[in-house]
Amino acid sequence: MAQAAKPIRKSRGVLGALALTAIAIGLYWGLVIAPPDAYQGEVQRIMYLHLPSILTAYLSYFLVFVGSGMYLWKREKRDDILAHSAAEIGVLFTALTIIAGSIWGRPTWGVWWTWDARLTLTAILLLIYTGYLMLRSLIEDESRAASAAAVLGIIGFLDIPLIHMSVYWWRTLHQPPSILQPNKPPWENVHPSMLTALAISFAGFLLLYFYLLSLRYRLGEMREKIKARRLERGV
Amino acid sequence: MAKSKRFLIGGIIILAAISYLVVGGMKEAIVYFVTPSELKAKENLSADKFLRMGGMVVKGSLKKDLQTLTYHFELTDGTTTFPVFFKGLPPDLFTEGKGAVVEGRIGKDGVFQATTIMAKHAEEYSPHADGKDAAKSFIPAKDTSTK
Repeated sequence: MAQAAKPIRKSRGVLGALALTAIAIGLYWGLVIAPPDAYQGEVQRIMYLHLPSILTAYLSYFLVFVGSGMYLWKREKRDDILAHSAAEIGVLFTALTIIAGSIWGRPTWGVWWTWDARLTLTAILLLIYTGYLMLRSLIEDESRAASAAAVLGIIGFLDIPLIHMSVYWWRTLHQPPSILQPNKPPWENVHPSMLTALAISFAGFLLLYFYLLSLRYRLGEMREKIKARRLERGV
Repeated sequence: MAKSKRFLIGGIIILAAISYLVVGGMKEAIVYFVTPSELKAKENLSADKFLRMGGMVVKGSLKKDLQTLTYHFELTDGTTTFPVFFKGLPPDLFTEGKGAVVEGRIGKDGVFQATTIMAKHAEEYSPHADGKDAAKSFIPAKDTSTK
């Protein structure tokens, strides 16, 4: 077992190093190379943190969705560990998005926060997955906790298309998407150098995400092994 | 047991917060702001009702007194304009020809007495001010807010 874990640990280390490198280059590009926005000035650079962060959170909740669905279907522990791990890291990146967005909103919009549809639904997103994590520790029976969490993990994901469509369906203070706009490619919204900074930063966030996920998944696996061994020994 | 009770209380609080946000927050969030036309069309405007109005700052309408920090301007949705008064510090992006959302109440003189000004910006980022309409998106094309 120790032999099998070694190459995984090594490639995880490489992943972490790559993540650090990409984030460093992304930061340099975003803070130094990319030009400031004509209207917003330097503060617009918060975008290089805010946007990759929420896209990473979306991906994470997608994995919660997949893991939850697989767990309800096959009842395999590994899918539950995946969903649980992804939910934890998703909450981290959602909180980061809201904090960065708030700091961006204060000088540009004039407010730290406002209850428009997009912001409200994002706050709900954070609450859903915080609730997901609490629900897991709330129910003592483990497989029942996993099943209940899986149901919430699937339903909760529906909030993401709502967040995406909110700026089209309702009047909001938040602007429409720059990258994920259906009829307009990103390069028509964002200057090439700014777009490059965004892309590198997003790549760095993705690498960091999979590094964290792999660590957290391993932790989940180890917890299961300890539990199984305790059961064997009848402790 | 004590632990699970603690989490149960926490869970109930979170659930209550979610329900409060969904029911109360979304009702307000869906009609986040009214347009000048919608506001003018209302028969009896109550002076003490808290409102949010969105529109473009009419070019040439902005009169500011930096000594007293007072601002007079008009918001338009293209068909109707509505006069606004504000005392305080508006955000940096607040300027003529751009989108803004104001919060406040309508005064006895029919002027919107804003307590907060929020500036709306577009989803476009560039080092060049190319004269594009920065908040042409102040109302979504498929606006379902009032339907």
